[in-house]
Amino acid sequence: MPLTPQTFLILAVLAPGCLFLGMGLLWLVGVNPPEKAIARTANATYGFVCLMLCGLVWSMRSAGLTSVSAGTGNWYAVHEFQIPLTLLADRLSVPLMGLTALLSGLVAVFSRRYLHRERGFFRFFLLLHLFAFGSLLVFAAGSVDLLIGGWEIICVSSALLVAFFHERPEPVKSAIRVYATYRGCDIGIMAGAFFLHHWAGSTLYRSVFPGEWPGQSSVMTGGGATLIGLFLLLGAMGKSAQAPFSGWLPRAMEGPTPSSAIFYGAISVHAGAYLMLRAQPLLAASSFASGVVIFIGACSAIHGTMVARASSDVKTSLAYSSISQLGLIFMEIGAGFSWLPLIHITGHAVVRTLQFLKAPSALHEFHGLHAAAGGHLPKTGAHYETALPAGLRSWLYRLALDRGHHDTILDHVVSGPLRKLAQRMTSLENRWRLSPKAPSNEGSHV
Amino acid sequence: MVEHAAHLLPSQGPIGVFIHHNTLHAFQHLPFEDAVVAASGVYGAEPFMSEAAYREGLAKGRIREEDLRAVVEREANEAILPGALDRRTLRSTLLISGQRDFDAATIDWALEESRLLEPDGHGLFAACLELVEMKAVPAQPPARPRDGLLHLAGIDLDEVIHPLLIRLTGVYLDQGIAYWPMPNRQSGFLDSVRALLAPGWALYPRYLERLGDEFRAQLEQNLDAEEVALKALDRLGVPEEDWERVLTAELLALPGWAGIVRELEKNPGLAPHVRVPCSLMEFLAVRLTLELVAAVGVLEERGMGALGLHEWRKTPVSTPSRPAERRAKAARLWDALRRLGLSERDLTAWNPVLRRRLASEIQKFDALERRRLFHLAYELRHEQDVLQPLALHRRNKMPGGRGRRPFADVFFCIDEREESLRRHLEEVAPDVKTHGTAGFFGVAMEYTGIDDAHGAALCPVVVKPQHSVRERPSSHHSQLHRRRVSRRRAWARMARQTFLSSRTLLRGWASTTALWPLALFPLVTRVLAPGRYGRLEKALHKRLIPQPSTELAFTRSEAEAHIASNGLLQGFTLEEMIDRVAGTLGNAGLRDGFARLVAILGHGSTSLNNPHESAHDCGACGGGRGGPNGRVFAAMANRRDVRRGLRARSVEIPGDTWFVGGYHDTCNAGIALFDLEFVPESHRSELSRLRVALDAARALDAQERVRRFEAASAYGGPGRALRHVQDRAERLSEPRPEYGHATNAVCIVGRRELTRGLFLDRRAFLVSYDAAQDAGDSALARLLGAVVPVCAGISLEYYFSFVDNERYGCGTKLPHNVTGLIGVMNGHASDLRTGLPWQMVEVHEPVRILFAVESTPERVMKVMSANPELAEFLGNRWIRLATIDPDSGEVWIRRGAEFERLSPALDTLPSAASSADWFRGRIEHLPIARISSESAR
Amino acid sequence: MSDLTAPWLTGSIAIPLAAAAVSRLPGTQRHARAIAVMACAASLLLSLETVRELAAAGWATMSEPWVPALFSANALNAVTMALFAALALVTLISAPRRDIGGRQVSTVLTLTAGALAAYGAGNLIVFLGGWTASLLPVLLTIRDKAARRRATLELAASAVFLAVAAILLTLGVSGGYPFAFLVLAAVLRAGLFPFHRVAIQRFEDGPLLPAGLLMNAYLGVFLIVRFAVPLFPAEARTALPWLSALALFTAIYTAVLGIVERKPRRLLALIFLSQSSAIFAGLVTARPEGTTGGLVQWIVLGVASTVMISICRSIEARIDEPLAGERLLGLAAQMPRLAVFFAVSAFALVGLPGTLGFPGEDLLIHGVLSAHPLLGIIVPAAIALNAYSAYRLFSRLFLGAPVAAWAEAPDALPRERWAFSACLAILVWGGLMPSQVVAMRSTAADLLAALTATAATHGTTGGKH
Repeated sequence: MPLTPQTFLILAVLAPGCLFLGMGLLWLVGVNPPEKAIARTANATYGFVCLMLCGLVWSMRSAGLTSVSAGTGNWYAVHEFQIPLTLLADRLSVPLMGLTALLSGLVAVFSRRYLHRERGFFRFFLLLHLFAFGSLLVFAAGSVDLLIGGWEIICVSSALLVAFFHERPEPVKSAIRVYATYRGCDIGIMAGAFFLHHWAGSTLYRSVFPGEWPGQSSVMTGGGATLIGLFLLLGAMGKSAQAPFSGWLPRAMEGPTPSSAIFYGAISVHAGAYLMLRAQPLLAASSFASGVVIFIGACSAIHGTMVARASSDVKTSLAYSSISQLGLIFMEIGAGFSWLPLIHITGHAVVRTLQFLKAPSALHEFHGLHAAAGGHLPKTGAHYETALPAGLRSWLYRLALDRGHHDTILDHVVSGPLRKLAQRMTSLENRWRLSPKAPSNEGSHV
Repeated sequence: MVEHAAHLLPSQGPIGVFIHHNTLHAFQHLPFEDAVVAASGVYGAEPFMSEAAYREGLAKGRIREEDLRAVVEREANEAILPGALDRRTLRSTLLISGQRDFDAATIDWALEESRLLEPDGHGLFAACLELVEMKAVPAQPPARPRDGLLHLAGIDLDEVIHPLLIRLTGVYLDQGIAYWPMPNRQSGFLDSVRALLAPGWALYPRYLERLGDEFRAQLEQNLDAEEVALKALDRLGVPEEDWERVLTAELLALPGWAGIVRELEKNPGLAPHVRVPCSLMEFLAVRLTLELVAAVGVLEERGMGALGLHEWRKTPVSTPSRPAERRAKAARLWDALRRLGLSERDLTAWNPVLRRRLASEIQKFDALERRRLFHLAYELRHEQDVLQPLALHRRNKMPGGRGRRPFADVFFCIDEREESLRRHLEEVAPDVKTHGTAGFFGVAMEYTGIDDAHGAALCPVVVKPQHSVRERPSSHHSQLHRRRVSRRRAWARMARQTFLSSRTLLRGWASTTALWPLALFPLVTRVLAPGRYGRLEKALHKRLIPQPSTELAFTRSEAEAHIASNGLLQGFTLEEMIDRVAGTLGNAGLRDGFARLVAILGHGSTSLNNPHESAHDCGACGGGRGGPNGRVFAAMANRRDVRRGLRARSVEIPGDTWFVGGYHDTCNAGIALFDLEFVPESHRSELSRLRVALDAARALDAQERVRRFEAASAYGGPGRALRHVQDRAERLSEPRPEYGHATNAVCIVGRRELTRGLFLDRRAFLVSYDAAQDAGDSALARLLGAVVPVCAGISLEYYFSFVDNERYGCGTKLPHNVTGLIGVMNGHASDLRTGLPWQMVEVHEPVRILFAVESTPERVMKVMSANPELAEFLGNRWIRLATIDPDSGEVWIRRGAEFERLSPALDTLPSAASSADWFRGRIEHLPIARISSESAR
Repeated sequence: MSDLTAPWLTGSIAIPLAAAAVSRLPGTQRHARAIAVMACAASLLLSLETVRELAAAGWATMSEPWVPALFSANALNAVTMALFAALALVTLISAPRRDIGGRQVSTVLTLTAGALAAYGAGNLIVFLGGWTASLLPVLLTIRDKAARRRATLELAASAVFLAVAAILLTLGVSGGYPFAFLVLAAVLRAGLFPFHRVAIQRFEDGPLLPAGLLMNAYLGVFLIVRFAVPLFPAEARTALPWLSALALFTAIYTAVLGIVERKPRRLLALIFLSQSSAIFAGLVTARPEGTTGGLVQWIVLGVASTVMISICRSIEARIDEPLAGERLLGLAAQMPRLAVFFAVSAFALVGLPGTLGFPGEDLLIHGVLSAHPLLGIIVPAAIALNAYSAYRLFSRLFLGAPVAAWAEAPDALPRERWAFSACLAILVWGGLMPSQVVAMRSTAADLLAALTATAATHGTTGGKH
């Protein structure tokens, strides 16, 4: 195989996917590989992906390219409706792919010990590979359609990893919640992709955002850009847990710690920010859409920081701290910065991963600090007590404690009415039942 | 009434100081076998291991058929089919051959698809169908409103109220995780919750819309917690005779949180940093208010507002019996009859009365009963596997006289984890003698190290320390110490700032955009090379933070001088010191013949990413680290005036004996000795010999520990094993830095000669005791009084956490989430998890601890019955007991109220040249073996 | 019009029919499954041969050599027949023993033969025969008497409507009336609102496996695209937007019903109806990507729903316990393979990338949205709701604490494993390399477009193909 940037790019993206498929097949035929083999193949794969990405950067630099797109032809096509299979490596996607490969690799190494002797060891790695493949695909996709592919893979692997400890009911319920939020918000990104197709004739970044990142332009302008931008924003808000959809993030902490780290500290939550960064030319073309992005970001940032401050458990406080930084990232994107949010994403992912991985040490560290400080840690949150009147303070605290009432609002506005409607419809349906009596037992013996 | 209900809550305090105790403490007044069953009714937990687990033990030889028979032999007998079958035969046949159970849900599949009855079972099955008696299960009234409403409206009230209640309790009890503490905490739980939730202008979750109104109404009427609870019960339609039942069920809906509130109410000092007033009644009041509001909300939303709230009591919670039930029971009977070798023809030969008796006898022998017998057999085999080798070892090698003076005596904690270190030390240095005494070495104190902010009690939990000891820098190092303190403070400020800033908004922005490379380095190295990172960190720490030499302030001249701040006595007077030294040495039966060097090793454990870190520390130090105790003890025993005083109590310490205190870290295998600069020049050679021996022993010990983690072959020699356990302690990704007390099963109270040279597989607590030196049994009473509760607590906690890890234990560690610095939850809003995590207990063998005391049955019983706590442990069979006669070596085992003599059944012990030869490459529990190179000497 | 080398179509229909008769005979009880499986396999092989020959001939319509009038094969129906034969085969192989007695087998076989005949029908009369034959046996098996009577009434009505339409056509009546009857019959059969209740009821009360197969025959929509539209292009042009609006409404309506449904069987029916209505909407968009998407999703729905329904039935046979309610049953611990089969099918049904569902859903959404830019948003919304319902169903059945008393219930038996693995293989293979499947279905879409177009230009409103 020639050592072109294209080859490196394709191999890097495909490797975890192939590993996933291979492991899935092995399982189907009844092979249960030992932990060591699973861990070694995982390490080798992420090592390989990192190597390929290094090769990619090297070959791009030596050829003097700032972006490379790989893959030819259509994945499938119906007449002029074509879904091309194109990967794109540019100054935006390469750092994020590198980050994904590095952190997935680290988490794989970490999990080999952490999940040792756990019944779901195999399943965890299987889903980790699926996730890594999905996120590499999201970052490397050359078109919105392909991005949706990776996006949905992240969605499914997240839900299944949240429900990793499926023998207890809470993780299962949380996973349903996560899945529902993801899928609900994905309507936005699907509609966005459709309108991009519809109006711009393609979803290829190369066609709709000509130029090199950063500083691409957009072929869409005006109302179209606004509409598509807002639809994509909806999708991004779900993935990045922006207000008011942030309620799923703390619930996602039911999974094992390393998956929380990579999904909700590092990669998965930043996918939405990446999408916004990708769609920045659209935002640049629509001041309204940018305004909305900034607004959402600001709301999330304040919401996140408030709630994080009133959280008494480590993982929730980390989750909401992530949300506040993500809000800032959204604001930066909405304000038209390009490099800044990219750096912010990278830094935030690294810092948060470490913090999540260290989360079980909270006790150890706090006691250590407490002793070193001579028994008096500086009191936190005092400025609230001095600056705010008691009534407002307690009101704000309650707002923070109830996570901004966002779940309640969503319940009142979306899921509650929907559920109520469904219940009313069901009772109407039952009134017209074909059989007068309700069937007693489902397990029919025919 | 609440008191009574609260009794059933888990009594685990904040997790930072983990104290092992009997999980079923509330049931200790019942005999063990009844208690576990009763508790399984209350908590919905498993009483024993699963039948499959016992059967696996049977297949592997862990239980033998003879054990099952022996156990059945001890049960009451009765003839079932006169002349043909009695109960014992029936039970042992079914137990051994593996009676199967069938469930109504799956019986049809078994009959249709797996062709259960093929080829010839149909006739017998038809006969069984006729024999089966179906009993109607009486409908149970629901235990609490939630159960009734779940049936009535299909909505789980717990799911409505728990998220809010957990969050409220969490922030209320928080000890420093939340940046912004809950307002008004000092006014109590109910008041602060009311102050928070009563004001308007906010949204309430679904079904809880009226919560504000309710709290406002309470405020207007100025109700206190008890009134609130009573009113709520009244409005929920609970009649007074049901209060206790309902309250118990309500508290047990979130046992962990209710339990911690209760513990902090009983003992506010347990709160590690912030004392908040806790009251279970207030917790209950909030809970009941939430529940009341939610119940009304649910009924209204479902259009059932017209129904009174009391309706919940009328919905019976029962399942109608189904036709498949009969088939399932018949299949069970069918299976049993086939195992008993009875055909259809045999069956019809007996008259109907006998046939029914047979059927009901088989039905009565249900899974629970089988598991109980299996468990007894499981413990019986264990008992034989321990006592037979002990007895044989005792017969083969009569403990002689004192023998040669050892070059060093080393005192360890009785902890079963020290057993292997002791053995290895004696292997590498046969002229060392080791002793086991409770790891606080009789020095109960509140200790404050130079790096500690507050004192911590280092003594068993039942003891309240009266004396306080401070570590202080030596006078010539006080300058250094000041620098140390200020540097540490600076470091703490910086670390705290980084910690906080990454979580806040603007500072977080700066730290995540600009400073992230600082996180990348630790992220990569801590994951890929944790050992190196740990060493680097330690080296940096050493370079940057000055290390002053220190001494202990442990003496006091006046008789009564309380420290103003904590009301404790500052240090010990001479008399008190003599008491402590004499007590510890005297209990161990050591009155003379000390070596030139005596080391006293306390122990503890350090690990990362492990909320249960403290559960690995020394149990005798109340979940603390026992190094200071060893150090104080040594310092006391080195004093001339103390030795003079000891002589008066007939403890003769030779003038050339020097004591050294030390600390053993059971996780990273480090051994530190203290105050070496004071060791006289004359003892330097012994000291260096001892150090060499200890170093060799700890590496061998590490090798023995490592065998449990992976296949031992992977870690080769002791050196690599030592590095491995050191790495393990530094690894963020390691959920089992060490196995702690897992596998503990025995406690041997007696002379070291009984066990020296035996490979006990780190499963035995070893308590030094010499009955010959204890004519009045007073030492035995002191020892047992301290040792039995501690060891039984550990053993029972492991037992229950193992047999039902989800309910008695805290499940797998992997999703644990530290909350409020007081405990762990699963995920973001679960109950506070109590008990031990699966990773700590997975290699455990759940048996009640077996005490083997080197004394006579009469002497032990005299001591035991004099102490009500011990009498309860023993009488209700929460522990097992055997005695070894100090003179004849005869072994007596307590069965029921009697002692039974152990008949020797063993001729030889397996032996190996060294411990390593015996365990190398094996991961399973190993039988007791003789390490023969030692015994040959 | 060229001929097939042999009357493959007639063969593939006659064999199951004959087998249905044989399995009614006394003495064949023990071999009922073997007979049925062999018959379906033979039928599948013959259909595949038809597909092969069609592909070789460039997907031009082909008739049969000896009996040209009855059946003809084209790009649309040949693949559909093969698919249906395969689904029947999978159902029969994986069915639990209690569902595989002689009578039940003959029900399934008759149903299969009927559906195949309807697909292959060269004219409306033959179609009517197949239509009726596929209905009858299922109706007879509903246990509850009142339910049976009313289901029979509603379903028989569809046959009657179709018959009336056929008679009107032969009488030469043109225009509105016959078309209206055809549409009515189709709507009834496809379970569009308000007739969705028939299908739900059948899932709930009837034997599940035949009910699933009957729905999967999907003859209602087939009637529209194969006969109604080509025969009455002018009427179709006015009616189709309404029809697709109705289908969209059904899709979202049933999807919304699904979110509170607690009985697995009803939930399966609701998800099925919602997805199939979305396909219906896609097929009548008259846009190549919409039609192709509909046809691809047809395959996905068939395969995935068959796996899900069969697994549901397997669980019912294994565990005789009410599966309704919010309780988590925790079967994954005992039945990991069934859990994975179910999960992959459920995710595929709602568009998991890497399965055929992704391109199908993508095309469908694009097609429907471009036909109805506003209303079309219903499709992704309905799919999202279905995804939620399907995932919830998966969680309820398989996740949760395992019940120790059910430990006797085994994981997938070899026969189930083979059948379901084959289904997953099709879904995954099609998902990784969708171009072939999409291209194949796209020719069928072109055929439909061509039929409509030629009919429109010639202005023929009567006459039969």
